[in-house]
Amino acid sequence: MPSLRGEDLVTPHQEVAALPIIPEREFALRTVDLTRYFYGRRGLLSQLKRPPIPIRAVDGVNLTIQREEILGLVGESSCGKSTVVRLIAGLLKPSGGEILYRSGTVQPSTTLVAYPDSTEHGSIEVLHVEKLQGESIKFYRSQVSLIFQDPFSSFDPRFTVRGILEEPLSVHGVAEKERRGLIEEILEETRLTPVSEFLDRYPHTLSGGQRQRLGIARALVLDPRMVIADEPVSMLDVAIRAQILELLLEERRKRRISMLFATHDLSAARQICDRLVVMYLGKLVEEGLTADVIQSPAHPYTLALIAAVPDPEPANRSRIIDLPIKGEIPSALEVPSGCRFHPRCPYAGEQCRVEEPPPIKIDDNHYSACWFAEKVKCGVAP
Amino acid sequence: MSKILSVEDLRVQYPSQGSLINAVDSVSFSLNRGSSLGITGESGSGKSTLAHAIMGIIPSPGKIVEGRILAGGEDITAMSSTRSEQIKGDKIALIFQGAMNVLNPFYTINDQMQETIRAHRRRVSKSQSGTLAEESMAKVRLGPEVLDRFPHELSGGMKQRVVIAMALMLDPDILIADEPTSSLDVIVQAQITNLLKDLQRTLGLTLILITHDLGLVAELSDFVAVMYAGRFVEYGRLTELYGAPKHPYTHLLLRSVQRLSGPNVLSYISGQPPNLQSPPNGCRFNPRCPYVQSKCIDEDPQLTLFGSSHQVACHRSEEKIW
Ligand SMILES: Nc1ncnc2c1ncn2[C@@H]1O[C@H](COP(=O)(O)OP(=O)(O)OP(=O)(O)O)[C@@H](O)[C@H]1O
Ligand SMILES: Nc1ncnc2c1ncn2[C@@H]1O[C@H](COP(=O)(O)OP(=O)(O)O)[C@@H](O)[C@H]1O
Ligand code: SF4
Ligand SMILES: [Mg+2]
Ligand SMILES: [Mg+2]
Repeated sequence: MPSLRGEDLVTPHQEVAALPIIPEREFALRTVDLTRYFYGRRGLLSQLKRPPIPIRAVDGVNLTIQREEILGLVGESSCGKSTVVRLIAGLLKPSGGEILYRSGTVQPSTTLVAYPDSTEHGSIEVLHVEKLQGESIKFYRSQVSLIFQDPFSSFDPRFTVRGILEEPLSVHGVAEKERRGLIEEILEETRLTPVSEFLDRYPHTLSGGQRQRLGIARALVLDPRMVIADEPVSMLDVAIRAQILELLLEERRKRRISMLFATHDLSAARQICDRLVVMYLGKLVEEGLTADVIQSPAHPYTLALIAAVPDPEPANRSRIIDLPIKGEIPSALEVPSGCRFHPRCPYAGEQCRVEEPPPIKIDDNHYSACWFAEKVKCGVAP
Repeated sequence: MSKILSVEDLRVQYPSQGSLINAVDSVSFSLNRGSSLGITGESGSGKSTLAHAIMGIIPSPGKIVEGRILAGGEDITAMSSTRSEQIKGDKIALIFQGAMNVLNPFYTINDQMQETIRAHRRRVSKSQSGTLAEESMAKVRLGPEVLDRFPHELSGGMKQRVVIAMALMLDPDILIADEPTSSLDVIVQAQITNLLKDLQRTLGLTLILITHDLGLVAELSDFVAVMYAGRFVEYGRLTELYGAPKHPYTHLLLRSVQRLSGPNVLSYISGQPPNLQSPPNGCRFNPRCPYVQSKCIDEDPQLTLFGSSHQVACHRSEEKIW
């Protein structure tokens, strides 16, 4: 897959690295033209007739997770969030592009040099996640951990809480006598208390909220530098959801970790994310500080996402929701020409049908891949 | 106004690990033609069980152990099962939680709609039932060509429309929709919400909406019931219940909704809902309630009427402390 990034094309991410508001911040992880195609299984005969059509799940994504920030990856189901998550976690190989990971300050940089596939990137040392193998995968996994949407299906039902937390410790060679202390500490921290009451329970005896706490405990027990969370609150009741969001915020503060928070729920993202990237059909369409994206969205898709969120507001009873979007999301097998949002977009013009919009800078730290970004941001109707 | 449905003192029990749990406990409400009731509460609070009880489909060994359900003045809990089934087929339709995911993959939409018609109307000709199916599809803004498709050929939003069309086919007096938007994407959710609003206006649909989404409740309901551990803890008009909740659970639930506007604060209810096998003494919310007093632990608060329709079960509902 040839690189889509022309030398003259300024991607937002080159600028984001030097955020004027927090200049000392540096990136923790960055993807460059990250792509992942899937090929559906088809009969041999039809494959001979014409080449298989790829599902363009992730189609050239440039995103940057800065140190100690929570970056929200927002979009509807099947837009590619989980694929990005699995690529970044090293569970899936990209079809093209790069994933650059930079270890935090806590880890002495000499650790990185010890690995054969660390390279120079500018003047900083990075790991190429897409090329990791052997021991360096293990190192990366101890640095970057995952929280899943449904913690239940990701636990081995034969393991108790203790067993679930012990596994990563033993895989990463933590001495047996140290494990107990670490496990009790993390249970305390994630408020699965009294600890003695939880240690020997099986995951199916825990409530949804408790299970997600255990999922977070498992992700943190190795003291990672970065956490990748895939829809961590989507399956929880509203009464419990904020408990988990608060726990994530607290851990970020305490451990100074960076985090990617993938979600279809813009209002949950608003609560904990510093910045947002909005994804549509495998590509990022908007990026900016959370408040900017929500208060002055600059992409028509973001506009529609915001309009669709129902507020518990009695006055809404008498309205028809004004949705500035047509139809439903097309399949990633048939990505539309030009701007991939154009068939659903009320702003779309001729240019949109033929030419793909690059990320356009509309403000410091705020980018939108739309030919009419300025117009949208200023609230001018289509 | 005429009551189209009345539920009186309903109690539903399931045996569970050697004891009996009251999944629905002393629930009463009634509904006028053309109005809508939103029933909300956390997972496991008994919302779906209540819907299943109204439809008479509580899976045994669970059963209705107390109370009556009156549809159009007739007690359907007391009827023979065939008669009550007929009434319910005609009068009340239920959209099951997750129904769009259990459409039969081997049959076309049309086959599945015909099946539904034949199950309830034995004496309908082929052409009549064909017209019925097409008319229902039109109600949910789908063209007749969709009838010939299989479920996998439809998007999530279309499947949900089909499920609504099936429920509307027999022209029910009451539609019960159990989480009609919860497995859909946010934009499709809003499209389905608009469709239901439209049906309320154009067909005068009487709706019982079951959802944990307090935003959706506000879009579609005239009255709201908040369930906690099998009971209604608060019931009232949407505006009074949302505007001035009288039960701390309602108040805290509304505050824990993440919004896109207003102050960015994280508020939640600590703890978790009670185990129905051994619910707490006194008020069932007392272990989680920030306003708990000794009376709350000693005495079970009864639903009390305020004004014309607002009902609350809390010892401190009049103190204006939240
Ligand atoms: N067939 C059954 N047998 C035994 N217990 C059941 C059965 N169905 C439901 N229950 C129990 O009854 C209670 C109420 O469940 P119900 O499904 O009505 O909740 P709900 O409010 O609809 O929850 P959700 O929001 O998760 O759909 C729960 O404690 C549940 O475990
Ligand atoms: N293993 C796979 N094989 C084929 N297609 C896949 C696979 N994983 C994901 N996809 C497709 O890639 C697209 C993005 O999926 P996903 O990353 O799961 O999105 P999200 O997490 O945003 O819902 C979808 O069209 C999905 O069907
Ligand atoms: S580029 Fe055109 S089609 Fe795409 S979002 Fe902007 S206005 Fe709409
Ligand atoms: Mg996903
Ligand atoms: Mg239910």
